[in-house]
Amino acid sequence: MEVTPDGEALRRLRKVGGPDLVRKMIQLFLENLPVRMETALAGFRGANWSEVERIGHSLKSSAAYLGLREVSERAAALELLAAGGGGNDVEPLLRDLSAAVPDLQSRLLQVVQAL
Amino acid sequence: MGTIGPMGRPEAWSELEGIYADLERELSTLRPLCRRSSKCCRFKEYGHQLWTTSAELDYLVEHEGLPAASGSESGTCPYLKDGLCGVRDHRMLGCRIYFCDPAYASAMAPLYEKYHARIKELHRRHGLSYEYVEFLTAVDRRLGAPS
Repeated sequence: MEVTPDGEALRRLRKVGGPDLVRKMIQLFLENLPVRMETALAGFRGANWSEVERIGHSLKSSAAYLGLREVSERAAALELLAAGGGGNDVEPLLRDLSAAVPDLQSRLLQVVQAL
Repeated sequence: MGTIGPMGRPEAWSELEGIYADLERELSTLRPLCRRSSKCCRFKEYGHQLWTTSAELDYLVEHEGLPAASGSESGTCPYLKDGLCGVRDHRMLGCRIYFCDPAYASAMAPLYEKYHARIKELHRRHGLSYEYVEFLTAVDRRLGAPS
């Protein structure tokens, strides 16, 4: 999965709120990411689909703001599947997203350091 | 109240309404779907943040007043009433542009950039101080400010 933020999305954020906004949005994303993934995995294990849907929705938009297109697309797919009561594709989606967390953290920290 | 920008600016408000009207026209061609889930208003629950400009916040507060209570603790928009926006006519750009519709997702950021630039320019032209603020924090500041 591509975890490098799209430069155009970051440029837009920076234009709207300066480097401080980019920093805040990335920090918020990184703070929330581990909790979101843990919650989604727990929701999956417990068949709590409304929780999985909520996390999918939340991750979809926050990733989109940072130009993390593939993360956002997978989160949107997760939201949709969970809204429909789960399905076989939920587990691989969650596995992909969880596996991407360390790279996401690393890439986004690089962006913050370069601001 | 009024700690960020000057209040009572009919010319600025008229221009802001014109910007919002242009946006509505553009959105009417894109036709993004809103399911009225109110997920976008339940910030904490869905991990959203709403950011806005100082003039838009002034415009909202001048027309709708401050909410009775802060939304910071619940993390929900304090203007949300029975699952619907209670200040729809005076809501901010971020509220007007955000839709969950996946078919609209790629249009959202360019649209936001375009209209935000116009609103930022409005600040300059009308001598309004420009701040880009997180909504709940900004409302808290105003609720806490001496009247």
